[in-house]
Amino acid sequence: METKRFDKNEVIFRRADLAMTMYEIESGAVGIYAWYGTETETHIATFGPGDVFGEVELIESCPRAADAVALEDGTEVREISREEFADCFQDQPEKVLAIMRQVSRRVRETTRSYLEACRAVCEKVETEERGEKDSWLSEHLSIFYKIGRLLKK
Amino acid sequence: MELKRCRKGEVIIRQGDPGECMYSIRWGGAAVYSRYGTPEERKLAELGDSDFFGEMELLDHTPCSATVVATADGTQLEVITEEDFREFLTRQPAKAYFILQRLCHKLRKTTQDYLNVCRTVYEAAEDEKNDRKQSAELERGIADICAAYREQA
Repeated sequence: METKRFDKNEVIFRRADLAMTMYEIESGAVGIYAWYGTETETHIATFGPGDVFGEVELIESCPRAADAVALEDGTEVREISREEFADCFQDQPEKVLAIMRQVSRRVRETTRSYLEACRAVCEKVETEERGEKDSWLSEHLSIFYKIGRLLKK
Repeated sequence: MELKRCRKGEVIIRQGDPGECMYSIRWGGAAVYSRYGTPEERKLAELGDSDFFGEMELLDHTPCSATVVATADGTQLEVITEEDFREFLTRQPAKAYFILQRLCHKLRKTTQDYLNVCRTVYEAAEDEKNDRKQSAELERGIADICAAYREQA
């Protein structure tokens, strides 16, 4: 388990990088972004001491989905490999439980966002079927439009 | 860890009830339903030996998202409460890892589904802005989203 130190705005990993470890923050803060450092930079989440990030791609053996950047000078993160994580089940079940809770919570939140988006689309279609006018650019669809537009760039 | 034996047709967990335990099928089978016992009843999945359910409800303390019914007489379940869960992590790490893997996979899939809806909204809005006719593919995509919403909500 190696500890790495990062300065403010230093990139820890980038979208599409291979996921070889997960990270536990010992001090400082880490921001997760889409398109970090570009004009469409979008903040997704911030993590602090005790938080774990990068676990999903490690467990799924898939490329990183977003960019991770240190937000403070002297940000220290501990790297945890897949083998070390497997040992955690026996040695530190509390840590594994916390990670499972975190992933489960994110599934729930993402499912909610997904259903809200589907509902907004459904309402738009039903409004038109009733003969009323509604625009794909209207307010209730705007948050999804903005995300869709960012994805197209 | 408690063992529970079920009759065919017995309801193990009911949609909307508080989620307190995870269940692992030792022997037999179970079926997962949405809106069980109503005209809108829909079977979501069939489970067999060594399948598990209820893990997200246990982790997040949220109500059961579906009803699960035993499909064979003598179906035997391992009942894992929150108190048991830490022991479960240390005693059956491979199974616990598999549960976590499944959660991560669900998160990735739900995220992709959400982003696809956002892309669809953006494309439809662009067509509308530019007075373009929607492609057949886009129309199908919108219809799929509406169908998905009506099924799940």
